[in-house]
Amino acid sequence: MSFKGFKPGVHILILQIIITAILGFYLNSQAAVTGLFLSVNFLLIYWYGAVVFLKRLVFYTILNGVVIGLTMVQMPILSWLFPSFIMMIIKIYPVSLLIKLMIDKAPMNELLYSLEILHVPKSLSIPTMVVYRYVPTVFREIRYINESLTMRGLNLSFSNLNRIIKTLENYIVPLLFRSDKIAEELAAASLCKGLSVKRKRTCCTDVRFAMTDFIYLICMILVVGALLFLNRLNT
Amino acid sequence: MNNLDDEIKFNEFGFTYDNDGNRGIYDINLSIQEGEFVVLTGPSGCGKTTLTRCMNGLIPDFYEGKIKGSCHVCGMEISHHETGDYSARVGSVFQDPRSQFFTMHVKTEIPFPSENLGMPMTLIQEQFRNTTEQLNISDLLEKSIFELSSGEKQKIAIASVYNAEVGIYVLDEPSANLDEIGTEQLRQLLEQLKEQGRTVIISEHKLYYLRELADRVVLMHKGKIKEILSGKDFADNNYEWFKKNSLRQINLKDVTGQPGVFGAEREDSIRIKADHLSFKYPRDQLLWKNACFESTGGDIIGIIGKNGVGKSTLIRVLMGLEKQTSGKISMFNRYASKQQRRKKSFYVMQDVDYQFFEGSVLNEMVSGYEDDPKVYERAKLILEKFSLAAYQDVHPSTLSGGQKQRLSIALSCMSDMPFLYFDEPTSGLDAENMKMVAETIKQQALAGKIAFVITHDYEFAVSLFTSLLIVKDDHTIRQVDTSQYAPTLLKKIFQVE
Repeated sequence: MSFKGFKPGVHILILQIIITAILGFYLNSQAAVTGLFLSVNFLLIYWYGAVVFLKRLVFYTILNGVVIGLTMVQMPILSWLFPSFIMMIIKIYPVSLLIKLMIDKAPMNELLYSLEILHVPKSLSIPTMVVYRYVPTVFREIRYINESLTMRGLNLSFSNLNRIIKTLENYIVPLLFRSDKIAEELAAASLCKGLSVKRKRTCCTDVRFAMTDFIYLICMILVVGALLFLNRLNT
Repeated sequence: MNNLDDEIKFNEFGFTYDNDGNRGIYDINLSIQEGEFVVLTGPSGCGKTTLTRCMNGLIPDFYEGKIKGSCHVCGMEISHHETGDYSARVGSVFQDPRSQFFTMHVKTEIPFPSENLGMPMTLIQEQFRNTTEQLNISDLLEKSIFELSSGEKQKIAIASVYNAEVGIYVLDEPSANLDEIGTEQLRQLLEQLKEQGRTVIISEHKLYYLRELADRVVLMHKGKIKEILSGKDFADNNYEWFKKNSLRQINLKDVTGQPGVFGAEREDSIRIKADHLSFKYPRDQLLWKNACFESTGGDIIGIIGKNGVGKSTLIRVLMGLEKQTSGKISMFNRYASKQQRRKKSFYVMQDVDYQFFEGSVLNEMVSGYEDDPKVYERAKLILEKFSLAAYQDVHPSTLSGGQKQRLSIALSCMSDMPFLYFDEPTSGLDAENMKMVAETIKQQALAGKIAFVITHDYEFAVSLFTSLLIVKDDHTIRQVDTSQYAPTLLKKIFQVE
């Protein structure tokens, strides 16, 4: 039984997410933006493996290709609206990957504890955690609702396109009722388990700042420095 | 801890919910000693859940309402304390495992209450080691909550409060979603808690697994305590007594079904046939192969097998939600594709909440058939038959569990679908509602339909089935058809003896 915390520490991961988000919008040279994506994607090989790395690389290249294509071949309206929209996605993409990493891999207790270390008020961190916990549940719920609608022929399909509003309502109504029920039960269970705004939480794993965190932080600073340098070079 | 601190004492206690004045409990006098094992039982809506909510402090802090009299838990009067004040003393386990876990992994869920209570890190780690060892759960530690079977989920729910070293365990219908293996795991765990001298209060419909454990049984009816019996006296009551009090039976051996309750006249035109059916998820192992079986109208087919052998997948394939890997399914003696099967099948899910989309019961019935001018009359007639006519204007989500199941079956009558599929229709239902669901399914079979039923409820199964499909561990499916089937077969399968 080991009680090692998630490495890098969750608070460092949060810091990294904030920095990446700022960089995503600050950087304006094409090379630096791509560099940011590459460094994040490269880092994630450690958790997701090479196949996912390649998939994301291809996705990113396609996005860039579409932007370049649309600016070269001037099409009315499309060339106006689309490139800026896709550029937006390109800028958000690295952050979204890191957030996904946090949702997939970071243990919730350490996350809660890290937020406490960072002095985020409990009244903010607990609701955030509930949302964070609820995301995978929502997908599950939608799948069940879709199944039951499919069996009754009321699901989202070509034959139902003429009553699209009613069809969407069919999804939303049970989802809301289920969510209401789950929210109530989850809140009751958490209260019984002693989750409280007033009490100070502890954490059973060791989340102290360790050597690995330090090295990780240094590497992060180096990469950020390099990206800023690259950005200046190209403008 | 001294004796006085640990006991629970209700004195002339009463409570009514603010949002529903009709629901509540009245005139409760009950005291529970340290180390006692108390079972609360009674028909749905009798107030046993409300009583558990008083003991874990959710009333009146979380569920607001009017309190009369007094209730002390661990020496604290509940009207003066918050839910959180009890978490160090009282541990709660709820019915639905999906909504009682805050974190997503076993490893983080077990220490979660202890962390909330602010126990020091080293102490939690030590406790964690003890908990995993004593409750024998070390093989589950690396898993995510979603990978666990329902029995394992309840085990982890108990483990997490065990880790916080509470003295009182309050469980609200913990077996509602469990199969017979899961229920047995739960029973062993409860036995262990009892041996360690913890106080256990459990509200339940299913009684058979608590026979040897209960020190006292509190029988409730319409919000009041009807009778308090010792565990032994309770178990000694006969079949008729349980039936009279509309309780589930405690001695499953006494429960027998009448063999051959097959639909009076066989409807030969309605027929489903599976020919060398196999199923395998991509990149996953094979579930079952070469299944051949056949059935005609009037048959109620029980699908039996351990957790994870692919019972749900079998009905999902038959009703056309999944495509079989190989083999053929024919309906009415003709090959039926996935889409064709879907048009003739009706699915009653375990959790029927996913199946209702409209604002009222009546609208729910007519949804999808609005083109038919006589549809309202037809819907009302069917509701009448299912004794739901009084509820036609209420919202489906306000119905009780049994009523929801019946409404689901009523929906299938609107479209006259000949093939019905049920996945655990009686989980969490009391004796009365279980019987009504069984009767409704029988009526459908008598009308010539075919019903496939997955259940781990012995009492339900024994009064219902007319044939069986047994999904075995070696990936084969064996059919026990009507001529070979006898309810006594189920005794062995459900390990009643």
